[in-house]
Amino acid sequence: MARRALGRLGHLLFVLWAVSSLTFILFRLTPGDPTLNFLSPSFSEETRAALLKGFGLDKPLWEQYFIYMNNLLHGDLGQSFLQGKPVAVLLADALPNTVLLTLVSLTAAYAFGIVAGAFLAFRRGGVVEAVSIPAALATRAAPEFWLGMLLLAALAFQTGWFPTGGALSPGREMNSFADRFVSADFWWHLALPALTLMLYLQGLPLLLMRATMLEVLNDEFIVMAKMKGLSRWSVVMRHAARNALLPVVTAFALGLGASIGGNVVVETVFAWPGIGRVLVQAVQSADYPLAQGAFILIAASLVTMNTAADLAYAALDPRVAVGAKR
Amino acid sequence: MSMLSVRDLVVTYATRAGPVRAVDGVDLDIPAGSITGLVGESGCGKSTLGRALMGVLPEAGKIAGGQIVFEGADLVALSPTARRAIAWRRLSFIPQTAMNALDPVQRLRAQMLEVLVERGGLGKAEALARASELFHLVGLDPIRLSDYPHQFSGGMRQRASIALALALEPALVIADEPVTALDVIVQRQVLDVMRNLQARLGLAMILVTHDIAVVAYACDRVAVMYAGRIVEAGPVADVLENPLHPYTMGLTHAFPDLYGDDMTLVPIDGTPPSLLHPPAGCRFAARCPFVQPRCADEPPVMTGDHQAACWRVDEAAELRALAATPATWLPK
Repeated sequence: MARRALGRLGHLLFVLWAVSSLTFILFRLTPGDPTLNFLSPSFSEETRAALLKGFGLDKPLWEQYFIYMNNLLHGDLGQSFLQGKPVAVLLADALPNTVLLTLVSLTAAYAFGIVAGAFLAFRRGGVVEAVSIPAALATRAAPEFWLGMLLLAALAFQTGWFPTGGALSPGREMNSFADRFVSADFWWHLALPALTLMLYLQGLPLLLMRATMLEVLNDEFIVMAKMKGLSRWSVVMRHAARNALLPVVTAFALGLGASIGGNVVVETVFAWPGIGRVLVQAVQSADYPLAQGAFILIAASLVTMNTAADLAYAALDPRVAVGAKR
Repeated sequence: MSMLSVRDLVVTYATRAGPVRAVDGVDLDIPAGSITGLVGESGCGKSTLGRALMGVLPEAGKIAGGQIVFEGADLVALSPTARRAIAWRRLSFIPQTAMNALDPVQRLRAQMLEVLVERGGLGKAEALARASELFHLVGLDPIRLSDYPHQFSGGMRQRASIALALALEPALVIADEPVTALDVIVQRQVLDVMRNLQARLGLAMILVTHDIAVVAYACDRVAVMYAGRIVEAGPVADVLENPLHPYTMGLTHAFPDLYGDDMTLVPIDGTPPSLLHPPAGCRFAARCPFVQPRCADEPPVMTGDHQAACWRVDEAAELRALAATPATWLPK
């Protein structure tokens, strides 16, 4: 198991290296040079050259690449063109908001989806199924921004029960995860975006759980469990649900990685100060270092969660033993 | 005295076209302390019968009539709770393990303990000792208890299933195609394990199989099933050497004889009847070379120790002579 984890870690590091190199190349491929993109084109040739020199952009590409990689390894993602702060600081400010939003909504979505999916598989046929499957599908298929706007209209603008945007009431400030956790104000702001995301995310685990559960319930070892006279609880939970959970765990970890970058829409609708919103703003204002940093962060979290899913899967399903016995 | 008496058992599967009578009026007696082979071709209802005895049928299946009297109680009439009390403690099952019959994500130890603790009421330490003992009994190293099913070979999985089936010292074990997925060498090893333990523990066993060789090797008695009914039953030697039913005669010619001379294998022409609308009389009538007018209308009945459901049982000796000629079985 430890060796396997180590192998996976090596794999992870390689992918991270590839991702950051690709990002480096992609941003060098953008038309024009940074001076034209973020500074006035009316600069004189000398000023431009001085600026390029200042950013190190006059050096050969390979040297730039080494400087970039070296900085990356030291956690230095450069300076935001627009805000003049280090990119790492800006991202570090936004990351806890995104992580908490993702964790809360994803956990709620999967907890709900797994339980409801298992229940629907268990009680196949009938009115409950005829109502809940289309409902789950509809919320899954509805665009997030539309769902978010409906919730905003109903629960924020009409009734005033929830704030219309942001992560904190004006004048309040938070720095750490812990600050946020104990703040009722933060949770109050989190409610609507998290609910929107949860409604959007619950369909996948629900349908996946139901489908695999239906498959597993027909498996021979379930028949055997019934023949053994085991309690219904043992049959359904210990044998059926445990086996049906495997693909759902993978989906969860992948969803976690994807959501960190994929919350762009919800974060925009609710003006939620997370990574997605930072990315959108950076792209809109051609703030390349910030956009580049956000990209790398999103890619890194996706790849990391992929690896986590792989390891979790192996722990849950002993048949997946890649590299364990060679 | 039989420990299990099945009387006029009917099991149907609901289909769009109507109920299929997979088991249709089966009478069967299983004496204590013996192995009875239940043999028949695919789709004859032998596995369905085995599952009906265990009380676990697929969703579409149900017991539509008859009695299963086991140790004095009619299992068909029993409440689910009373049924569960008997399950595995008195009546257990050996599956064909190639079909994923062991939970793939749990160690064998957990699967043994589950039965021993939850159904057997043993303490954990006791259960662990018993699990090791059972593994030993079926010829597995107790160290393998910490393995997962996928780390076992086919033969080992089958042994583990036997250990599970014997865990609570049942009175009757139903084995459904227990050696079908194994190669002949391992088949023989597993059959030996089953036979030894059956004799040692004095239990009764029903061995469901499509393989006459398995019946000849391992069983004391045999019941031949055809199209949802038992057509012939009796001691193995009698039935296989002096078959009374034309179907059994046909079967014995359709299998190669390991020790005998070269023989021509003769298939039985045709296919079994649809169980959606089974024929009124003898179900083998359409394929039987010795068919008579009354066979099509009246179902024959069985009587005696070695018995067959055929109107011409009294002429069996002559029919056997005829059946030994391949020409008899040629399509008309």
